Amino acid sequence: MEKTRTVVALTGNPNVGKSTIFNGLTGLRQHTGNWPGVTVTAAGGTFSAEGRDYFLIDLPGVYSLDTRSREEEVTRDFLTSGLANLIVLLCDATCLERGLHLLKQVLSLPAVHDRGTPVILCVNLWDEARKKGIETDLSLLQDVLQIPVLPSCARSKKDLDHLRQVIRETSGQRFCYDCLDFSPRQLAAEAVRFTRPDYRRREEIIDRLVTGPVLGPLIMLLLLFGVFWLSMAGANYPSRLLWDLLFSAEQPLASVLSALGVSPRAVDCLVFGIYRVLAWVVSVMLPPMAIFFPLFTLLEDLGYLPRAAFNMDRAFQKCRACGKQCLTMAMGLGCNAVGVTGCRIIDSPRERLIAILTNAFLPCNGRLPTLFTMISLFFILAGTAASSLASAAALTLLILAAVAMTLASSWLLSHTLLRGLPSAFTLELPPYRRPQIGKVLIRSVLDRTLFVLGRAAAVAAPAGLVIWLLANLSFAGPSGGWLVPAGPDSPSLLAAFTGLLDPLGRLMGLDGVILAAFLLGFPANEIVLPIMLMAYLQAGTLTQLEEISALSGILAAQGWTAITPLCLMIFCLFHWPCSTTCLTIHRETGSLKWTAAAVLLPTAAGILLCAAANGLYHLLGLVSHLPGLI
Amino acid sequence: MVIPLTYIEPGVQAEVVWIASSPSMAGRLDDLGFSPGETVSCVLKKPGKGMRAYLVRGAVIALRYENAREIFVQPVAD
Repeated sequence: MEKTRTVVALTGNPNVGKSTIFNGLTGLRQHTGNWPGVTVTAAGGTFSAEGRDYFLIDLPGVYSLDTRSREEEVTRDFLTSGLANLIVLLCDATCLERGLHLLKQVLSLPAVHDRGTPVILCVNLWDEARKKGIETDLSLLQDVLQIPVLPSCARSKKDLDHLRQVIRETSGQRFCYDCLDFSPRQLAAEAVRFTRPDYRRREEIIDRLVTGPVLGPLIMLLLLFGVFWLSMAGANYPSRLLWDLLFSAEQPLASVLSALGVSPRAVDCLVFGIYRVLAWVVSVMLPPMAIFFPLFTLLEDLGYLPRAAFNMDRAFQKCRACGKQCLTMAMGLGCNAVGVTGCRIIDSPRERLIAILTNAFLPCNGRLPTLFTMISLFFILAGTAASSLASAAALTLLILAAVAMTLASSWLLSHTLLRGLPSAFTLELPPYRRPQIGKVLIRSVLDRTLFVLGRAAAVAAPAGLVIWLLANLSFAGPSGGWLVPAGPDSPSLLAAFTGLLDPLGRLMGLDGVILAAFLLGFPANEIVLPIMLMAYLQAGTLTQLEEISALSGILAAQGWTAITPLCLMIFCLFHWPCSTTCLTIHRETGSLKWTAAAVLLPTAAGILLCAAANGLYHLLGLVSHLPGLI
Repeated sequence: MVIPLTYIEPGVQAEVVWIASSPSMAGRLDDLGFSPGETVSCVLKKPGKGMRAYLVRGAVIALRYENAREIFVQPVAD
């Protein structure tokens, strides 16, 4: 009938499950989690009901329309613009009153009130409320409010279909709100009945445990350690399996390519260069990531993160920063660009800037695999067996170091460039929710693991070509025709480039190749390790990698000692943010100066720490005491 | 007897009497239900000047000591 789509706005208090409903209706995969402020920007998607098309907008959650933060501005501006043809207001059945306060504000907006824009009240988390013995009289609500009121639990397909149907029925109608007057408090008191007054008891007991003075931090550490240990120990066997599988295909692949008439040199480059590195990346990166992400997502969905923020607030307060920075830090562990955008949940501009500038201190998706690998290499090069417990402990220590650096630099910033006192804020501790294990698995494996891997593979292949070209071309100057094939007399571009970086690299306990890999890895941190391997392999030591540990042989031949993986881990934690994060920082701060600060701060920290670690190592003369280094 | 919210121990209910916070924070607190006449109860309390959490309008909201101190309440006898 009409060509234009009906615009449906999805709004409500924070953390009532708007994004889950949005995903359910549109089939998209917006990030969801059990804490307020997961969505900070509006997202749009389409869905259809009975042949009609709708454009659904998922707005960030708000407590009221008197905006006090940037994410709330997005919602207010959209609702007041009058662009929405229909509004679905979602509220939490376990705290209905708060939703009704927002409903009252929305209904009194001129853009809604005067135009008679239909509003549908959706009482979400219906199942959760029922389990707690909270019963809501929906017919009373509907009688008083004179708008469609329906229960929903975002996970139920039937409820989603019902919502679709109600949207279909009400769209195009004109509602009259002239006679509407209600007191949210009174209405909630009349409509809600608590059949179990002690419904919060179990939650309170758990909360007291996880925020206890001794037990709280201990549980936090154990959870971190447990997640890492499961990722590393559980990945051992699948890693080996993948390794054997992928490498047994290497020879047949080479034969097939030769049979197809590909020149031996090209086969060499394709199979023993690019394929081998890709196979290595897949077998080393995939298994730990496929375990780590679901586990982390489980913690997020359970509602643990706000409790961690509650525990850590005192530390952030001492650094004159906002306690919500703990949440943006945890988001940074997934992706720094997302973490930087997530800083919008911090109201004070000064504290938001601190959180943005220090976000890259936490290693993202792309950097974790590098850390996983370097830890095993460190143990091999140091001559001890790498038990999964020791590896997990090492990784936990690294993350603690990253958190400590975040706090230290926050302190530094709030005493120098961003002077000021901590400002007021509120932090909501949502009820614990049972995560949907199946969905978590699918979502984290498909959305996160394969995404990281795909990006690594996609960027690693062209990077392989660049490395190959750099390693085989030489700069001859204007008289010699600029570029000529590299030979014994003419050093390759790669050698010249890494040679240039080598002195700085050596000072930091690294070498020119590693620094070059970090520089070339600016578009995506995932490819630092593959680039490094390719650069080493192009240098002529093209040996068969029979086992993962055989890698240590190649690296030892390149002059690696136990301090090299250690310094590499430090530099991996603390260096410039990737290009996407830099762009995001620029977008969020709107200033080149602060973007530069966000690049310089972690880089300076990394260079200093690496140089210090390396200096200390040589000072102690550990070289001669540790066996198995050479 | 009107006392700062920080004096309320976990498990104790209190009625909000007045808010002495800065206008922007007072507005935010009002959105959440920390407004005169509302009943809140303490749920969690970190030792010393750590964070506290209060149950208000069915949700648990954590506040810093400095912010909770600016909310004045009257304890509700059980």
